[in-house]
Amino acid sequence: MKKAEWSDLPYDIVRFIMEKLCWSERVPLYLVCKNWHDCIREIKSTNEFLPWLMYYKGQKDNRNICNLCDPSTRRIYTVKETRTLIYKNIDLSGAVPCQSRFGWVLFSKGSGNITIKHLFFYNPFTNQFIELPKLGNKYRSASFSKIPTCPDCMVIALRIPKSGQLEIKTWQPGYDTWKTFKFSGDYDRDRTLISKQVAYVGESFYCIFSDLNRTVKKVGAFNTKHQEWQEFSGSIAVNNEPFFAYLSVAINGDLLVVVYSYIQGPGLWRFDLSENKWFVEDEKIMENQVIFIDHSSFLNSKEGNAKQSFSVPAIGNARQSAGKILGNSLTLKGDQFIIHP
Amino acid sequence: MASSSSSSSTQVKKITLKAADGKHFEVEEPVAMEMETVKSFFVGNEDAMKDMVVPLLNVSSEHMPAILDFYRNHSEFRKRTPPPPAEEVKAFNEAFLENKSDEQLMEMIMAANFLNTKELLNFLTEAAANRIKNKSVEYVRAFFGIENDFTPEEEARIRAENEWAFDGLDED
Repeated sequence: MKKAEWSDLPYDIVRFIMEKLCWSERVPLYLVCKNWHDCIREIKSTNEFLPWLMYYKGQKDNRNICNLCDPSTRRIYTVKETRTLIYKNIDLSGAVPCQSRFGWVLFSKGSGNITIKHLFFYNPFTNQFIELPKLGNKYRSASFSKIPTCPDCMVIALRIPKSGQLEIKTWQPGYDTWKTFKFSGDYDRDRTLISKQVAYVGESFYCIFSDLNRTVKKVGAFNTKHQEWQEFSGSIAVNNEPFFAYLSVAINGDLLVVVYSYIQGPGLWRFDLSENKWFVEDEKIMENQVIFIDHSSFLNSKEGNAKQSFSVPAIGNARQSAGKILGNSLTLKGDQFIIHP
Repeated sequence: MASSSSSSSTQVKKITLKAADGKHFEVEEPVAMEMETVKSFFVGNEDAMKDMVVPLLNVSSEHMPAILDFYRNHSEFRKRTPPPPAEEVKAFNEAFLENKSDEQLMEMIMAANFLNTKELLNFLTEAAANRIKNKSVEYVRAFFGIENDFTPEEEARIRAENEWAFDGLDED
């Protein structure tokens, strides 16, 4: 029998070995050779469900060092230390994430982290930017549906320009302007709050409206195909105590809201999309998922709502975190902040 | 419900396996049947007698004792009720890999692939993955004996696309 070499290993075996590594460990091996590059690209991760955490380091007004933390390996990566100009003279410092999906983050720039004036996409894994046309006005919430390089992708921005009116702007790749929709209804310019998180399920964007006491009053839905607006009444009440509501999508496809009050801690509500009704949930619904909440809102309680909130199925490498609500803090050092349990 | 075929015989049947270098190994039938390659030699092959010698062309006799040991222990782990504590399995697996050179590991992977046994292949490829985890590209190339076939331009492009991922790898 001739002496065997590693390089004699069949392609399947190389792939088998690569599959044992997690994604962040595989990517550097793109460079080994062309065969490996193709082999690694073909691997679809079926085991990785924990989202990466992204955060900024740097001086106070210059938080432009972007770090990525892979929760599977607890390793921290630095994206780039140079200032990248992304929108005229603006860089990432001061930008606020509105939504992240598929490795892309929709960032906003505005005043004081509250309002949205410009939107742009950034992919920290590939260091790619996509600029969006100017919004013109200040918006409250924004989100997107699909990978932003896909023509079907839609970006949405919402605001209440004057009492009695809701304004929605949408943008799709390839267009150099935003489309504007105006819907009249029971909106008070000073008293109605649109949730910072806008969830995308099926083919619709969902947001929740609350009053100044942060009591959820109704759910709104914008259908991306028919470009129609629909509202569902039904409120969430938590003992008249001020609370925060974090909207995400439950793994069964319904809306999931974590309500958090300082005295009672977190509670769970599910908005059933087939019945259009709120249901109080016990911990059972959490057994199959992990919820993430942007913790920075806790530090900035005046402006209330979290920037982002989402849930992932508690399978694969996320199984260990089943039932947890995790938040990241601004001073994150590779740690997740466990809110619950 | 299965697995009581040989309960009547007092002596466990043995199957003879022949390694690549001609050395013979007498193996209890259930252990031999852990290897799909051996199993398929008999299943659906009416002419094959259980006392025939099964040739294993790609497995050197150097690794046979360790491989058979793995099958014996792991099939015992699987059968045991209650299941063995995770530490016991881990201790066996660690002892199995101890003092195995990279080259020996690779030869055993080839053997496991030839013998077509998922459990062993899974275990060994994971061990190989652990040995290259967080190593530099140069280290991994040397480990596998692979030549770099990228042009400097291609290499620079891939590096730029995934710059963050090349941070902080071990040099050796």
